[in-house]
Amino acid sequence: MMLTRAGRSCFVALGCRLLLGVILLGHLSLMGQSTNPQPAQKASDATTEFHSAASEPAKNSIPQVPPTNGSSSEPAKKGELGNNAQPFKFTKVDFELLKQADAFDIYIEERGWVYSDLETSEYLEKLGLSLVPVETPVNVKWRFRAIRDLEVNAFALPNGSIYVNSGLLSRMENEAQFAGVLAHEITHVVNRHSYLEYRSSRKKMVAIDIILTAARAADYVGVSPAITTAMGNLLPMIVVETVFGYSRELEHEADAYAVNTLHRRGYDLWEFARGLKLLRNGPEVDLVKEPVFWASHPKLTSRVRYIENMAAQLQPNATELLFNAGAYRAATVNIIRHNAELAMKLGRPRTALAIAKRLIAEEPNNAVNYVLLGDAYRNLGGRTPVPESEELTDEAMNATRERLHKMTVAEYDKALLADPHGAELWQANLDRSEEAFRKALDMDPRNATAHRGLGFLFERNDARAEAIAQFKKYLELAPNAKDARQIRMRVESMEQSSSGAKPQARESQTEGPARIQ
Amino acid sequence: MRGKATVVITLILACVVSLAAQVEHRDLKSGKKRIRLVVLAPIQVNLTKMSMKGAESMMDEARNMELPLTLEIEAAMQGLGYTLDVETLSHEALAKDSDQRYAVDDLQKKFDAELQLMHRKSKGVRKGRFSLGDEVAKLPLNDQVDALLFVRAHGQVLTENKKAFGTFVAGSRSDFAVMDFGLVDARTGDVLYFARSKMVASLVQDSEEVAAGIAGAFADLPKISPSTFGASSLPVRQDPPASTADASPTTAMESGKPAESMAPVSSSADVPESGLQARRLRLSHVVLKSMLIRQVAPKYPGIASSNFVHGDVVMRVVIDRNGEVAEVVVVSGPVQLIPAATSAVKQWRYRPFTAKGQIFEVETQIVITFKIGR
Repeated sequence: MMLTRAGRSCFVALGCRLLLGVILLGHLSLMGQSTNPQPAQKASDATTEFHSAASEPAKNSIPQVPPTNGSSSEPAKKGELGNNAQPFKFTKVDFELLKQADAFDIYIEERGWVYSDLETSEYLEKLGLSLVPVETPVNVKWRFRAIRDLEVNAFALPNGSIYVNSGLLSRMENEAQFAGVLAHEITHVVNRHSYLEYRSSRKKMVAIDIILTAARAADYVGVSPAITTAMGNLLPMIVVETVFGYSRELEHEADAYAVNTLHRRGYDLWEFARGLKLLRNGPEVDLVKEPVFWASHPKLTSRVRYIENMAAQLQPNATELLFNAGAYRAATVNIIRHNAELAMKLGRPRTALAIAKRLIAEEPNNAVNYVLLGDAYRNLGGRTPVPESEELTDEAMNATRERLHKMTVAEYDKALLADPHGAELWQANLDRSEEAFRKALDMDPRNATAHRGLGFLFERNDARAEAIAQFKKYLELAPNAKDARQIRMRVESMEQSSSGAKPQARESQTEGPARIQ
Repeated sequence: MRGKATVVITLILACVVSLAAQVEHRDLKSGKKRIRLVVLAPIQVNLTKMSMKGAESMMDEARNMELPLTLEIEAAMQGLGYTLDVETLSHEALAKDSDQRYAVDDLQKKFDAELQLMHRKSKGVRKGRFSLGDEVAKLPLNDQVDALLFVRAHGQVLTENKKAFGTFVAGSRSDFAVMDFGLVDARTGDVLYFARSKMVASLVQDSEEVAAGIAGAFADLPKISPSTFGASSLPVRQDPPASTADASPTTAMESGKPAESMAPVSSSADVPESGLQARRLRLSHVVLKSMLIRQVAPKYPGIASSNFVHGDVVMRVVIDRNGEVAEVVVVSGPVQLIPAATSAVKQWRYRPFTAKGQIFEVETQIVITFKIGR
């Protein structure tokens, strides 16, 4: 990231005027030779270029090809043909892309991004394979995997690897909604969309810029979503098709296929439309104003409208349609819980709280869900459970962005608590948190994690003796826990410092408020 | 702001090859905190090729760079008297345990998040402003581990045409690389040391500049005098931090080497070199996989498969300077499967491993899994 920034500013310093002139006068003709002069540097104008490029085809709903663009006109025509009316012929460039996609699969796996829970994997695989076309395209090996990432997104690689983020799984409510997303991504693979985009160097540049912008914007939020950053660094060249893709005509094609597939399988199309809508509103204040990955984009609205129209046509009397909420719930509960924990670690407690509430609504008698609720309230610190209206004004969002730009996540949490309003909120959250842990213990007195949660709560409130007692109870109930060493160290440090003068000073400095795992 | 900074760099690149900036935690500086055993979190390399057509990832090349960079870092730290464990948290070591893989990944993400601010406000490291939290204590490390090392390397490689374009029209006109290093307290998660090296060099080709950049990054780290821990820093390795039971074969193999040449020299400039020469490198097999020329699959012994004997055979392997497998020591595995595994591995061939223009003997751990039913 820094490199490209440096490169950009270098360009700005050295050749801005010269190149702007060139771009203004003959941008298209330059593109036509597919020798894009300043790929990384021309970010700013390329982004605006994307807007115009994306909105034009929308009006005519016919893919527009820049008239002088020799290299991209041919693949774009193929894109028009859609469902492989002409067999796709692999060229050297395509094999290069395929190789990169395979390498990326390994990269992602090695780094621990793939969530390898058996139940989740099996479910994804089974559902995914039920949606793919009978004939597997050449050089495609279907693989459906979940990724530990908060971003609400899904993407497909040209080699048939389809990845769904845990953030998206946490938003979806049933199989019909989720199947729509999968079928959509499958189309990108079947119709070789990545290859087509990759061959067209102009589109490739647009993709790079979009992804880089997204990754850069993510910087502001304090925590960088690893996947987005990695996309910025690695994937532009692989050209992924994300669920919020960037090429309108191809997205439309994918939705059309998804609608057909879902209809044939008997899924409720209204649910598919509703699922897309669910992607839009998250429980966090969305500080990243992004045209592409983020759902504020008008594109999503028009896509929802299209699917609803199709639903009205194909399934006018919506009865006895499939949506399999139970199966979806059972298979995804682990990864959804995992996603909530991830959200707490990365400073997005509202996401965690929303998930905990949802899990309790679905399964009210499970102590584990109440522990999650308690942890989520504890991590809220000085926040309200859902964003307040004053947080959502442009001014407030700018201010928050500014603060997050200057602070670490822990510092930001601490600053919230320092505010009188925040301190008040914290009191309330603290009570709700304790209540949730107690409830979990009522249901299951041997629940170790509830004791751990209480321990953290007491520790935060300087009730050291109680904290130590709860932690010890935790260690007694779960001696082999992954974090046993961490908790033991906390107990030790509390026991040591209780004899010393300044209580908690060190703890609060390194930890900030409400850091747990 | 940025414009200015870049211009300055452009001017400097004519004379200076690498730039480094380091900040150290006050406790580290004052000697209140001491570091000796450091575990390396898998380094993350990313390479971009800039051609006239645009940016392209060099994912394979980036993966191949992980090994030489790891070695350089190991050598640099070794030269200062530290012990760097590159295996315990390697991709390979974590391949079988998803929880630990997630834990490491979460910390990597957290490091990335802190890194953004660390770039802008690096002086905060001194006051202990940055921390990954005490979640670091969840890693499978023992109490002897003092710190974790996080490394990010970004390299940009320009094609010839692109360089010419940069020279005469606009844009950058030479390869460059940036490396970030963060030493993190293994118990509290506090960032103890942060360094950033910028090099006007190719991460892939200019290994000397890169080595100098790495050495420069650690220049402010307090040196550990050899006398404190004996003539060689290797004995620290005798108890590897993880609970893996491979301690004894390792020591047995390493003790056979001449001890006198292993003493770290205190002048920092040529330490890595002399340190490296004498050493047999210990590398994760993940990084070595790319060097494999011939891999012979083991034959499943008929008697074993009919008796449903299956499992992993873990071996310590020494690859000599010709790339041949010189020694195989079995660490663990079912007795019936050991002959098949060792005889297969003995036939493997690697490309001789070179770093800084020298060829090294490499020691690694290979795991062969025998599965029934395929």
